[in-house]
Amino acid sequence: MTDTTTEATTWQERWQLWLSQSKAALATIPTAFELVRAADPKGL
Amino acid sequence: MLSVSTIINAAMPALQAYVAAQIIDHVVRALQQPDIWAGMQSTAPWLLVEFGLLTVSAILTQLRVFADHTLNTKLTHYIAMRIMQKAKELDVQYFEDAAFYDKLQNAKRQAEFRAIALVTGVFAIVQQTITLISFLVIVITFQPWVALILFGASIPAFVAQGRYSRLYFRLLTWRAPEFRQLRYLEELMTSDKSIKEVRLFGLGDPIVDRHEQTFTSYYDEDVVLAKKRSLLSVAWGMVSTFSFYVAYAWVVWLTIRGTLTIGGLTFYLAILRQSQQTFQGLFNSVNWIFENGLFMTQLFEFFNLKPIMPHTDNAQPMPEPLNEGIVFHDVSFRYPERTEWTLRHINLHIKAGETLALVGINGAGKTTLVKLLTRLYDPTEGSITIDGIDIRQMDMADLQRHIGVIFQDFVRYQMSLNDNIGFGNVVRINDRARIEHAADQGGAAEIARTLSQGYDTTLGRQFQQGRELSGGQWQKIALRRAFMRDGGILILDEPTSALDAQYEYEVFQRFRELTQGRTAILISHRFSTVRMADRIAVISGGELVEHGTHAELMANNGDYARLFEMQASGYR
Ligand SMILES: Nc1ncnc2c1ncn2[C@@H]1O[C@H](COP(=O)(O)OP(=O)(O)OP(=O)(O)O)[C@@H](O)[C@H]1O
Ligand SMILES: [Mg+2]
Repeated sequence: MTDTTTEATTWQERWQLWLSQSKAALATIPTAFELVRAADPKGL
Repeated sequence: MLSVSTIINAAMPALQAYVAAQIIDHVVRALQQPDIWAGMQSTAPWLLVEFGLLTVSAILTQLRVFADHTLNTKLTHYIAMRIMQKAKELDVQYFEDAAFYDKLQNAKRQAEFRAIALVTGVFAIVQQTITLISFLVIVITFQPWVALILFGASIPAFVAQGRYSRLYFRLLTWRAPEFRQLRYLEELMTSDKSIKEVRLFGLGDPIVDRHEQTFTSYYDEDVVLAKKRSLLSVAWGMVSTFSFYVAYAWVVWLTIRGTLTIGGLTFYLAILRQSQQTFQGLFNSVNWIFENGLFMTQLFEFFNLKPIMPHTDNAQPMPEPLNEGIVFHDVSFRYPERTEWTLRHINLHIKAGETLALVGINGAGKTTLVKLLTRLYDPTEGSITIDGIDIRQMDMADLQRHIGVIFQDFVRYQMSLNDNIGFGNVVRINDRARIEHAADQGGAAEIARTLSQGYDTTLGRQFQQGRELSGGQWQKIALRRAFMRDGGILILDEPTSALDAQYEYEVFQRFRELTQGRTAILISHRFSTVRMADRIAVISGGELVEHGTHAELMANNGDYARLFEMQASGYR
């Protein structure tokens, strides 16, 4: 799982966390498209 | 559908602003002309154009609503299917782990809504970018510095929103155990399985109180977060509104000075306002995508869970019929994430065709042994072979197809009697003759006769026209289900715990006939039952302490003899 339980303390940690979360969030976009396309091919 | 409407809607705002400006300028010009009709004539086409634009826009909006609705419905179904398919391939041990249910809870939470939001969010960004570019061209050619303050003032709000999206996500994922607790308490209060105890022990109020407490602790955090989010939004919102009015004042000044026409004034005001809105909208979309993406990571992580138990590529077929039988070779087992051994150094040979009874006190490890043989778990140490083949070398489904089983906590399928028996062998589920035969062999046929629609009667109270059965009747049916299986191995984990003495007697009178040609493992606390087995194995504290025939064990005068005497003395 994405580590959501640790509270980042330093700026570096926060930045790291932000970066990894943003990457993870961005990476879901194509998968979400695939999901929607699979569910309803004409919907897009 | 989404893509078409996106592109058309993107160009709309700039077009509408342009047409509105044309109308005003024509009106202003007409005011200065003597010929009223000529003025009207030159303005009217623009009115028509604007009407046309609005109509197209309205139709598109409704089409979008419709498309979103159907997409949503389909996606809900599709995601549920995907989750079930995933559940199908995951090992049993996942389902005995609380963390798994937290994951599942997080994955399911608004998943379809988030998936659609992600997709529409991407379209929104495309649309907003196109719109914004059209505005930007206009604003920059008008005054570059205006663009700078308008847009610059929106950035802090964006950063703040992004932070809160993350905090919100963290709150919700953190709180998954509590959310499940809430669902569980609701279930306790509203299900037929628990209502009797809840009512008679007076658990209603305590359960409601716990629900309240759990909810409040979450709610407080949620409110604090929402409050901060709103306050910040207001503060940063004012900054951007202020920047808009600076630009506004500038346009008014230009108009008064005569640099701009009245039409120009309205045009630029509309453009300025809308471009700032679009800019903020774009930022919001980016944040929205970010937030939804965070939530979707949970669903995709769930989809990415992998079965833990190894699968062999060149699986050996399950031998049929058995020759040698089932052998436990020094098997030890520890449940995942537990430190103590549940089974320790089990060496046991169950010969083909024999019936072995497993005896032992509660928690001794009898059911666990069965779970290992059926490959719901693999041994931590040692191995189990069937006719010399390690069961890990067999295809899991093939192995399980050959085993008929009734568990202590068998399932009461809220479906027809036919299905309740037929599920024991799904390929035969429509083979009514076979099902009736299975039912006939042991008392279930009498149950069928008392039901109004016979084998098609729905059992249980969960659904309309369901007929509830007694505990023992359910168990009889589960027993028939185990016998539906064609396989050579039969496992009965306390199959008669709820059965009346008469019926139990009948079952065991016919037990040999029923288990003819099968290797059977029988777990029971009733020694009258146990003594009918060919051999008996006594498990204590996870270890095999004794095994042999009834007579041998009695002669041994060990654990078995002691337990047997204890029970027998109660009947004298
Ligand atoms: N899924 C599980 N995860 C962790 N520990 C478990 C699990 N299931 C059972 N145990 C533990 O393993 C031990 C043996 O349990 P098991 O169900 O095999 O006992 P049993 O002999 O069938 O008892 P009973 O006669 O009550 O049915 C118990 O101490 C129990 O707490
Ligand atoms: Mg048990």
